[in-house]
Amino acid sequence: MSQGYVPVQWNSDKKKYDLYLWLGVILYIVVFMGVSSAVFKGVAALSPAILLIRAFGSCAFLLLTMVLCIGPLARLDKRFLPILYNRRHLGVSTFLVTLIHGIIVTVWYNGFGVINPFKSLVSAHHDYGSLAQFPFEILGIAALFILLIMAATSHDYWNKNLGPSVWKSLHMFVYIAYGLTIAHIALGALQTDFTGFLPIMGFLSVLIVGALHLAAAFRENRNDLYLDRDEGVNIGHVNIGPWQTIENNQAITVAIDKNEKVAVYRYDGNKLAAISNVCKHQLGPLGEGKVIDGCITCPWHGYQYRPDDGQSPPPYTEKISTYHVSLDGDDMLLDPNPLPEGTARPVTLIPNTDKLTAEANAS
Amino acid sequence: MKNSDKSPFYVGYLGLPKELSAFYKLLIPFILLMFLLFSLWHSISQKSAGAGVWDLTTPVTLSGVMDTEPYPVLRIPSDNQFGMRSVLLVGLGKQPVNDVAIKFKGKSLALTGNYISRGGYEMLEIVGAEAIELLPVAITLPDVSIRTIAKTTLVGEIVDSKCFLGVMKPGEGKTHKTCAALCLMGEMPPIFVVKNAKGERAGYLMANTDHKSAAEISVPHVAKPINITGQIIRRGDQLILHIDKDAFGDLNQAERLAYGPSFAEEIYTANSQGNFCNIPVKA
Repeated sequence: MSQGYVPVQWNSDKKKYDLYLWLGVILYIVVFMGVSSAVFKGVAALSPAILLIRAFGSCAFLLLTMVLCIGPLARLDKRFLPILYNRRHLGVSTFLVTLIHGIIVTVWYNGFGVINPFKSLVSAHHDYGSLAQFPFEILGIAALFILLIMAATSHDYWNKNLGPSVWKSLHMFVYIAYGLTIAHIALGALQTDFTGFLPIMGFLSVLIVGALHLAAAFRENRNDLYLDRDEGVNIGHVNIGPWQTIENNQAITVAIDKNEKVAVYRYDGNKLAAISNVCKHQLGPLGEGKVIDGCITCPWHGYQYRPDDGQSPPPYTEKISTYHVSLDGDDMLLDPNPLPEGTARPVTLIPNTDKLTAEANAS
Repeated sequence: MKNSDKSPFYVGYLGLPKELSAFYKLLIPFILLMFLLFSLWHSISQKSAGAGVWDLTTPVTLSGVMDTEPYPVLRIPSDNQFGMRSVLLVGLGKQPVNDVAIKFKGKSLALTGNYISRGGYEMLEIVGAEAIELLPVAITLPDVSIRTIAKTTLVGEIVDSKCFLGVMKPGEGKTHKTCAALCLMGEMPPIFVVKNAKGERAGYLMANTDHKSAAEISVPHVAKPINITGQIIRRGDQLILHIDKDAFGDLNQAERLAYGPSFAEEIYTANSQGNFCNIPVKA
């Protein structure tokens, strides 16, 4: 977690992840080059460099679409969490594939001439007022720049030093990169040829990315318990329903205002603890995690916090806000006022739950 | 959010739960299969770029007389109706051969280079000074004086000849625009490609009204549908569109729609050399 930095903390899962990822990339490029060369041959052969531009460009777009699908997929179905866990490898790979596309374009289309290739790349189009003639290359360059910044900072060193909020905001630029890429394709390749793979793939990509994000947001809104914080502040607590709604070692998430959510966990069968829903690492949703080895564990990258004080177990040093939760019969009462990060407070015990405790111990 | 998902919970440092192994044994092949199918679909849905040839395997040696107007060209005696064939000359990459052409203007030469051709157009890519050999006996050619044919307005797209004739396939359209502009800056001869309702296309070599290069004034108008008003002339076997800087006009919306896709697919079969040629068609 927060101890020391190495370029990549390799484990067997990460190695398998990269192996299959690059197997997919190589499969895509090799099949594209092979089939294109077989279909268009002899005097009808297409230029190999242009085939490479198309292959790497479309592959990068597919990878970027996958990057954007993983987040909502993992929130809708936890079986996708292993792909989310190593998403930075997919992001860096997306940048590398995009970079290869950009290098071949710059050399093939803009090299070997009487002016600098980079000047050629940005100076041939001037008509920013026309969609049909808009200089689409500049959109691709901007998207590549964003992917570069994201790839370069895709490490916990930068997350720690920039702070998770700044780091997260920076990495939300992936949506801008995606929009720029869609525009780059629509105002570039599709202006030359609006048939075949690219327009359908572009449409499918927007449809799938949009639908998954809407579905994840809908599910979150449907399941979150929304409270009026002011009401709670006035009376010191708000009723968030019976404790039986929480599965053992899991949580419910309570939204106490627009930007603040609390994860209320039940663990060891008969204990309740409320903590901030936001992980200190990448602002992951702690309420969607589980209690493992006595610690609340973030679903994104496994960062852990003790339920009783919101602190990561030593030697780690992360701390999150804790909240008071109490019981009125079966109903849980949540004090919406956060305690300072890492503050211990009495554990709330659910009375008369020997059976639950026994079940928890058995599991 | 109520968190009642019963799925095995993954934590990277704990490894993949056994319960997820079956899921990933299906998911990974499925994703790889999607990559394969998308690649297959993309590759076979591409359009043909015509029957242009850029032969890098066997250098060709051609003998003729060097001319420089409107572009460096080797005029070779032929038994066709014009008594000659004109082979455009270009340098490596996007570099001109103007200096060499001026140096040897009017001389009988044997030139060796990479042969480029499409639809009746011929071009030779000169690969170095050693590729030029002065011939001991002068070659005689028929008259190459200019004959005016007609003033006309045509709708089409300016391409750089080197890419369009075979070096880049496809060598036209918006994705090729920066390259086309760079080629014209390097004095590659511009060709105005027009098409008729059947999709048949023809290309007019473009030159200024003083029969000098029109490459520079064509740069701002390259790789987009436009109209051009100019004088069609013939010089030897070459059909050339004489223009000035005011010859270019933008298309209105209706004209743009009527023109259709900027990239007209070359109809290529085993029995034809495509539907592009260097003779005029009815626009």
